[in-house]
Amino acid sequence: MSIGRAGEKIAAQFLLSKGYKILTQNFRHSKLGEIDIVAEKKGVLIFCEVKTRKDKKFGQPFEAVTLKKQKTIKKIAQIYLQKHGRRGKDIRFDVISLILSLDDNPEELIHIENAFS
Amino acid sequence: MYAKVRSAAVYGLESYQVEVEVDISSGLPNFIIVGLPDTAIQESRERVRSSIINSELEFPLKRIVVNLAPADIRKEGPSFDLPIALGILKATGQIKTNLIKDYLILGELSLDGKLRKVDGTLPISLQAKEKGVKGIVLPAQNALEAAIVNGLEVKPVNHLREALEFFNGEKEINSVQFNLESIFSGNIQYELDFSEVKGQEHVKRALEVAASGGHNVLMIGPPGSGKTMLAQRLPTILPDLSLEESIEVTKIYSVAGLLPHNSPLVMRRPFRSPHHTISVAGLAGGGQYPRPGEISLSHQGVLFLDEFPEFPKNALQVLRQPLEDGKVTISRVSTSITYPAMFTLIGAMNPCPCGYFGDRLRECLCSPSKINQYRGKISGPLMDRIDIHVEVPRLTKEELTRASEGELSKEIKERVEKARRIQRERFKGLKITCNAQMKPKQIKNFCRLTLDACNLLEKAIEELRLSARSYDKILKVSRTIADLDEKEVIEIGHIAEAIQYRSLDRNLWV
Repeated sequence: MSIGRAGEKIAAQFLLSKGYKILTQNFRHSKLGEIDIVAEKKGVLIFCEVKTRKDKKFGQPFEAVTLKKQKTIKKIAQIYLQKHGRRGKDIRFDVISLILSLDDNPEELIHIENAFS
Repeated sequence: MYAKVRSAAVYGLESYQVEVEVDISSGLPNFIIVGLPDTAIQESRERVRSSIINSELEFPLKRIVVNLAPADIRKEGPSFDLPIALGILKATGQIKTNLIKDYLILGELSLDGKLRKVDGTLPISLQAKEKGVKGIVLPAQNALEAAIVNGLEVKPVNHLREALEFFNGEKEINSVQFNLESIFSGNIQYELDFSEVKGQEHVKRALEVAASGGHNVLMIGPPGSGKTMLAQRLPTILPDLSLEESIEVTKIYSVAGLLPHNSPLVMRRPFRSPHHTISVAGLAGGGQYPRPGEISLSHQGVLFLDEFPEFPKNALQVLRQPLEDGKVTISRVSTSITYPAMFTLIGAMNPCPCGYFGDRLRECLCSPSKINQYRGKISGPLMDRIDIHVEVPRLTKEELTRASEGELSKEIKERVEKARRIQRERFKGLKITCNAQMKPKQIKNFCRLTLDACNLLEKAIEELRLSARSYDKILKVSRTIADLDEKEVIEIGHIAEAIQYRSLDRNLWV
């Protein structure tokens, strides 16, 4: 399993343990890309980007969620909303930043709620 | 996590307080500045980030919002670097005390955390004192300038870390003191002296009269006759600046960023000689963020315009209002700014385009129409404001080789100061300080003539066909000459000399 997928799995488990309901994982748009996790808690729809790395040589994983990436996620989120008829609901964009050890165990997990808007 | 730091900015010569608010919240790392910042402030984000990291402090990987209040005034310049950096350090808990709220903070940061000097410190500290601020923290290079203001704790810092340690109470910084009296008791030295100018005694006399009465002068002479040399020495015979005048001039230079760092106070009368390609904005002041122009930089001093007719016509027109009011107002959509501009104008021009009209040795090649056109570049209304015209002829061989030294500036200055004292006494309670500023009514009151002086003036008007305009000018100048002579009533000799200074009206030239 790739690091990314491993990270997403751990992130999903983390959200479940926090009382989130996972709606979709890896929601894809053929051109734009994908959203790692779509979840829901207390009526708020959450689009979550997971960034996973093995070390911090290049800074924290969440620093890699650039403005361009944020824009892409927003666009895909819009498409998700159209498909699932969830208009009018409160939505939120989160980022989960993960550092994994060599044997894919989580060493550090940072959950940034409402990371951008 | 929220923090507030006090800072200030300058608009015109006035300063206003700016509150730098910093809010740090969770979210993806982001750093935005709001509150109408200009490009230099937007770029301060990079300087602040690098200097915090390079000072081995922690730069938060969070959402940072900086607000510069009041939000409706445009802010410019890099002087908010230090307040923003300290705001971030306070909001992240790296500054632990509340000492910061007592101080006004200014400073530009370099990437390694060192501080650079900023402009406009003097107006800012003057205003800070007025507002009852306890102290001011600023780059060490600006400290003396701020210390001119008494009763303000001036804390110089060289590095971001030093500021941090000060606000954490880990380091004491001694306040900078500046003794105004001791600086003002010393004599002011000029590198130039009137004794260096050979010959041209009548021009020196004319400049002495100009210095005494605050009259503007136009010098007319062929190239190389010494016009520039003479003009450069005019500040050496003007009376010394008073403390208030000195502070006023320093404020202008502070805002323009032209203060030499080793002398925080401008003590000498300024001498400015802009090149004739200068633009209107360069001369009068202006720009998107208005800056003082040459006329304000020569406030309380001398503005020397060499090749007077070569200046752009609109640039010369712009001089008219400041010459009248002693200040210049620059209007912008939102506000208008007034800079003081009380200067003595010295113009220098050739008698004709080729420069040799009326010369003893070389023939002039210009046609009369060309000469007229050249002279016509200086408009009547501007000419109106120049009291003294004086010819500066080429020196003869005998004059050049003569060994005798001229009079020292110091001696001339003593006479000038005496004449100025008489004028101050006379105009006490009025809004003017020297003869050149007299209005027609005041001329009538203060310029009494002896009978034969009166006769001479009448005759001169008739024979030389002088205009009403010249009449007033002659009276004003003769008043100054009489003051130099310490006479209450203007005598025939004074009038005769004053008539000499109207050569362009006498039409001897065309």
